[in-house]
Amino acid sequence: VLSSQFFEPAVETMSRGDLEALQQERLLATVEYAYERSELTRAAWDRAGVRPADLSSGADFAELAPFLSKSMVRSRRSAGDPYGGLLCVDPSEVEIVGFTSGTTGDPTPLPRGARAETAKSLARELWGIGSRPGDRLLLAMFPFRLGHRFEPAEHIGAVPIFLAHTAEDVPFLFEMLVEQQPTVFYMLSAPLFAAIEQHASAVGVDVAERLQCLTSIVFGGEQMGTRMRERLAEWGVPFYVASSLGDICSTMECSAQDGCHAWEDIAFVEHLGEDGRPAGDGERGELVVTSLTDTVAPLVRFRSGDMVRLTRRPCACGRTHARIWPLGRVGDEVHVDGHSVLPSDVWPVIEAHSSSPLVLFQLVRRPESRGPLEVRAAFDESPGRSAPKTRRAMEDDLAEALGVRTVVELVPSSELLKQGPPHKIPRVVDA
Amino acid sequence: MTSRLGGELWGIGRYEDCSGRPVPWAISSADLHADADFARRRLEAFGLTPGDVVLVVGLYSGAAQLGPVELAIRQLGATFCCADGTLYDGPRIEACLRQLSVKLLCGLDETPLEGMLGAGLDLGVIGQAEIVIASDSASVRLEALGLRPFRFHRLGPALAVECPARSGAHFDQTQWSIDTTGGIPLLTGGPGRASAVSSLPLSVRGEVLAGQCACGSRDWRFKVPRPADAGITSTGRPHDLVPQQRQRWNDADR
Repeated sequence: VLSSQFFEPAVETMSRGDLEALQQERLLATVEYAYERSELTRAAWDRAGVRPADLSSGADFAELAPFLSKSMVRSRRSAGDPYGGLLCVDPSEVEIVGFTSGTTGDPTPLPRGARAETAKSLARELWGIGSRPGDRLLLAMFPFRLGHRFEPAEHIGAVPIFLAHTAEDVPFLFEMLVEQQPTVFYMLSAPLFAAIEQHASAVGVDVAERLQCLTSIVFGGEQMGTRMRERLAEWGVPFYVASSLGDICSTMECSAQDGCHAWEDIAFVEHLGEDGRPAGDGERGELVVTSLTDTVAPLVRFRSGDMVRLTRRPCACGRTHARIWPLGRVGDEVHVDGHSVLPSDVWPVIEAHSSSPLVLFQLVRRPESRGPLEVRAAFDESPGRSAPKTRRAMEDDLAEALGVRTVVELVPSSELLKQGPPHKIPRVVDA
Repeated sequence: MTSRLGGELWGIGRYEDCSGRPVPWAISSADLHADADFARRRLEAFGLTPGDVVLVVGLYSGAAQLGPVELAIRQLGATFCCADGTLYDGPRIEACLRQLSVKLLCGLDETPLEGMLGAGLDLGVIGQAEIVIASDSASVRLEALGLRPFRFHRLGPALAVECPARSGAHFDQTQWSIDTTGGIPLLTGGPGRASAVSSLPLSVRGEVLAGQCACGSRDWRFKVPRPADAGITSTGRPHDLVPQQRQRWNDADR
């Protein structure tokens, strides 16, 4: 195994035929299991007039199975069930409750038992980018999703170095780079990137030189701007994008850096176009996931709200599982005067006028969809930078790029960053 | 850091020395399990049983101390959940207490309490947990609200936790010894641990009680005199200067 580029070669490189057969078997079993035990799933299926016995294939599932959504889970939570009607076991069998980041609302509890799908998927991913037994693994994390133990490292046999995902911990991070010579850094986010650059500049350290021991950096949180991508390239360490596969497990780029692998032995993955029909291979659509191995609170045809491109074409790395490219959130669309605006539309304009690689801004959504478009953008005073000029330039350029009259409010970076979690900020807020 | 092991390490965390400087702190798998045994005894003292929900609050950088606590909670068959010990995660603590029936909340420090206040939340919600284990400074705040938290102390890399008898904070004398003869307590780690600690001066003053506790435990105790509570008050919401700055930036030439 040590010499293999794969942590679980038999699973990761399984033929598509075998993988789809395994999926179908697990999918049908999961549907029956969840229908019998999960109140939310059973209610949704009963409402749709579909029974597990009506399905005999993945194609039947795609044709007949009703969807679950975050709002359905939330409404059950509001009614007093913390697990949103998803729990399939007695509450005493729940070992850990992780949480979603809570970027856009109340964090969602994610119950699980002894077996952690994310621990398995992350072990594959970290192994794939070079983590090996005995290696030091630099972890700049927050505990709310996986806890304080990092089980993927236990699976691999790597030694984690535990750091908080905060600017305050960057000096210690620099110390650990010298003392422990870690090989993989998990994970970097835009706020942490800025903190590293700032600290290196303050103490006169060359970041690229300090990071020489690393073979891989994992980047997560939200999209990476052009300026950050260029600067990361100057650091000289390959970086890999990571995300969550619809709250079922992790997903990360492999050595080919051509999309994040969606583990199809753990999740049945679909993506839907605007018409609710399956989007074509390589096209953009909403990620819809079904747990295949979770017996505690399996999600069955859960609309994740994540916009992705998805392909099942073979990857150059040799893995056969699907790949996705995270594009943003479905709910991040703001309608103004008949125009649809996404944060990704605003991003390049703000980046062009920002002195920071963080590209911190938010769209403000009002119930009425009349203009102007309201944008809250970060501004930090520095010599030669005028707030009124920056604001006017942003407003003019956004109006030109989007065809919508725009009003920009400048706020200190700290005010946006404190809306955390530490690795990202909410990009759309209600007025 | 003096490390005695190579490939058998479970992880590398840190502790703060008495000047507040972070010191790397490696623990082995054997250390993890020894510390989890101690944590389990402490949790059992509070009557924790399978199915109870425990909320642990702490930074990821504290994983060398909190990883064993997590392991102990799971070994007891209780449900583990956690929040970051940061300003931004204060609201997660409130959300967790509101959504789950938390029996025991531990590791609470002042920073997430500030985060709760900053988000306009009432600290009284902490009382929804049946048992709260908090730092000295957080305890003072909670006591001002009429709550009665139990206290924990960071003794360098070791933890000491009060029991229901409230007669000192138990520490694991099988792993640590504390010498108080010179006035400043000095901590020394057992010989089997991955990282060596010898006569580490502690920032907390107190005395060691070696006899059996009223709670029935034979784990030794470190008794810290209660700090003077006067003068410690809520600082209110942070970022008070921000509105003025925003107004200057955005109204200048409207």
